[in-house]
Amino acid sequence: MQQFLKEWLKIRNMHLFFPYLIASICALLFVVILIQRAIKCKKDGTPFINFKNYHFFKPGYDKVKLWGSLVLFILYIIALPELHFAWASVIFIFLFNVLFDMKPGKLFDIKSILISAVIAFVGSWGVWYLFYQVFNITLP
Amino acid sequence: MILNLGLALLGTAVGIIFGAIPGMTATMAVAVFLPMTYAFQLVPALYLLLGLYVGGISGGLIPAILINVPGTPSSVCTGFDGYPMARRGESERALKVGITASFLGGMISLIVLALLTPPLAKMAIKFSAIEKFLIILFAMTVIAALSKGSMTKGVFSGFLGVLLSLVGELSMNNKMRMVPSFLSDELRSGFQLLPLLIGLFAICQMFQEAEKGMQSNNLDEGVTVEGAKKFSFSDFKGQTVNVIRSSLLGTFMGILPGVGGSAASLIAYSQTKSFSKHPELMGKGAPEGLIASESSNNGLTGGALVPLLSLGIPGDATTAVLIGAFLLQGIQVGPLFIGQHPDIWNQILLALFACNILMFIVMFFPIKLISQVVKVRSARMYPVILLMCIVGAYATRSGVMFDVWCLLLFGIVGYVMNKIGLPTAPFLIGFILGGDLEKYFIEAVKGNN
Repeated sequence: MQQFLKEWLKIRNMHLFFPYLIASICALLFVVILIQRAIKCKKDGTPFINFKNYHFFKPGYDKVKLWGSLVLFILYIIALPELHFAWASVIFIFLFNVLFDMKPGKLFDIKSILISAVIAFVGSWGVWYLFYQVFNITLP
Repeated sequence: MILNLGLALLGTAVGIIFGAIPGMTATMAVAVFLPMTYAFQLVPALYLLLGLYVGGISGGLIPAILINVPGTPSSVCTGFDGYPMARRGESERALKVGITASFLGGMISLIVLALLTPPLAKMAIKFSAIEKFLIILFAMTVIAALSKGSMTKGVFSGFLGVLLSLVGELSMNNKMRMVPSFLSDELRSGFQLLPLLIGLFAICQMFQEAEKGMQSNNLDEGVTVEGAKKFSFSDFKGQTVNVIRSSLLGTFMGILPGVGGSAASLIAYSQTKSFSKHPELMGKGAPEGLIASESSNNGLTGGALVPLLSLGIPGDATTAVLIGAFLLQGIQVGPLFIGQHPDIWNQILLALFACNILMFIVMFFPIKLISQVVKVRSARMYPVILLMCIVGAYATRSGVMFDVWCLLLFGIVGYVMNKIGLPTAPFLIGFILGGDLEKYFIEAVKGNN
């Protein structure tokens, strides 16, 4: 054992020993979780893999808001280096506000859109001013 | 000092808002505001962050009492008695009982923090690499064992965090591991703590709320803040033992790494019920249940700082985020911290003291105004929070876009982990402690050889 550790902890191998050790522990724990699940399923008389009754998302989840927020987030990150931080933020924070405040059957609520625009404009320029001008923090 | 107190006031007020909106937590508040501390030195930054911590934990009582939805997990038992009190027209009384209990719990935990941390740190200085390695391993086991869900999943999640922390270059031999060649520049120093924790605790929460449709909260009919029965400090008559017992339970639960406020609150509540002269009234609007829950969860705040400042091990997810503030300033928390930085240690105690007093003032007197916070719509809050998260992630290494992508990545990772029942707190703590775990392991084995 000592020889084995000595060999592994030679300077050229040192960086690999601990990741291998932790990865092995993770693999072992994963197997234990599977075994525990198998035992539980056997006890309860339920199938080990039950795709029919498995719901990753909540039943009736808000598809538009969840997937919309993910797509907007990706587009926002892409747009940040292309546009000025504050302008990219005004556009996307406005879109996030509209998306999150959207009510079924009432897509174009003028009051809500106006509030979204104000929050997006004030929020984006406010954050830009606070962090870039006051705190001197690098922004995209 | 005025700047420090101003930041503590800002932190406390914002923390209360975060705590009072169901779905937003103290951890999230601290994570989102961490980037603001780039502009400050450590002491003012700590005033802000501790204000957010104390405010965030305390604010959770408002929705628990008014709408029976705990604002934070640590207020889970507050609604058991607080909501029935509100239903019978005693909202103001319930809120003020809760705020006073929170204040007392915070103060008692502060005393424990001040008395317990220095001797613990003194003892920990004598630890060798083997002992340090074993303490981290022990802490991770406790975190995992007491995290929600199954113990095995908690341990698994913790070790996944450790594995992730090993990505990048090992400083001992300057060799890279687990890094794809096309990301060798971005991942040379591994994944950054800030995008990881903001992603896990803020972006993940945004996705979860988006899935639920960003619902808003409304007060039930019959619940108003004004009520017939007013609060009086005589409500605490005969509750001295309850306050001290619950606060100490909360504090000691906080000292155990990873236990969290919900467990502290549940244990204190059940203990109070066991010792109560009228257990049949608990759950039906008895102030003693409310006192137990609130004094224990605020007791946690000081308790969770004990292992952080004496051993360098975070007591809960929020203190894990606080480590980020110390790291940003290049200060290592651990056994040597108090000896090397006595001024910062004293300021931490002072900050916690000030934040508890400010929390009491900000919540107790304008109670009618503060209670309106539950009506703040998360649909309007999340876009601004997202903006702050982007700034925080981007500024981590003064302008690396890869860190913003990591923010999204860890938001999705946190979302998926919650879905499959893997707790995120052990993952974060494993990530924070992973580097030290490896260092002490190598030192211990080499020493033995």
